[in-house]
Amino acid sequence: MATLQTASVSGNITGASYMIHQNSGMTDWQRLSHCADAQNTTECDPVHSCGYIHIRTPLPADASATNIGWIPMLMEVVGYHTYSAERFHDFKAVINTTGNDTYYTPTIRSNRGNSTGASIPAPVFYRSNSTYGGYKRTCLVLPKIGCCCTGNIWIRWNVNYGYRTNYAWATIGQAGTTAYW
Amino acid sequence: MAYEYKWKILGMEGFRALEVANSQFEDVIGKVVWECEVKDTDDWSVHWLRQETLLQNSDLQANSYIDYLEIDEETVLEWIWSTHENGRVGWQTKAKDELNAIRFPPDDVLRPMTPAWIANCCPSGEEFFNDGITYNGDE
Repeated sequence: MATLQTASVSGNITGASYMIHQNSGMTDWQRLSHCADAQNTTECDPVHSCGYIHIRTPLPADASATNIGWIPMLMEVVGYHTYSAERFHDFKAVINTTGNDTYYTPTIRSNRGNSTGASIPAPVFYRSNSTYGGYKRTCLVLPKIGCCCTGNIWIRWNVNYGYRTNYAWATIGQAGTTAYW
Repeated sequence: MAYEYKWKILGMEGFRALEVANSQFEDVIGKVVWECEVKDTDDWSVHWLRQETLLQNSDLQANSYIDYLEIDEETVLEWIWSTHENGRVGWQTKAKDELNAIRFPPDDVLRPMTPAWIANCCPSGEEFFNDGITYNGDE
């Protein structure tokens, strides 16, 4: 079997499938910006001043036979917001622990961020109320500072790694943790 | 659908010194890593077109050379945009098309599937051991 040593591409590479990660069993890190505005000033005024970012992942929160089934998976989240990292995220959650469609239970077993302090709420998971691409999706809420300052979030999970591109990701700023999606 | 685009330079690589047509240049950018974020402001779906572009330095001229410390983000972005036949809008259209390809894929494209024997096992409450199937010996 030949082994590709080098390749130089000046155009596009198109595949008929998603990339299979045979070695790690983890998805690539998905990087998201903390700079997510609210939809309008009714929610937060100005729109960048919301205290939470809601993230809709492409991971279906649906254990039906044609979906992800009952395979608990480890989701890892790291990130920071503002130049001095006033919000810092570093936690691991086991999600899809109940394996049914009544409640998509996540369990945060490890949290080394600064989001668990007395006045700083812990991350929140929820299942979207609406369907996106035919399925309800796994969503999470992280506290942020009310500015569009520098800050990134990285998310990855094991098992079902093909689902990282199963649908588009989405972010929006919100004043609270009530389910938006 | 309404779309919002946001451009960002993620990283650059360059030459400390470069000789072009017998002229010496210092701190010449050779590669730019960039992203174009597209967001559907109706449902807030987001996608990032992330690429790296090698800049052509063979036509570098002293009278058009910009000192590295005076280069701004928009100037670098304009170099990136010029590599698409339709400029900035061309790249943005590509990002938007990728977003919609993710959201509305055709049925005849490979998609993730969960093994049915796992998917069907659990709402009934029946225990399932996801150990695979083991065979002993060489037979």
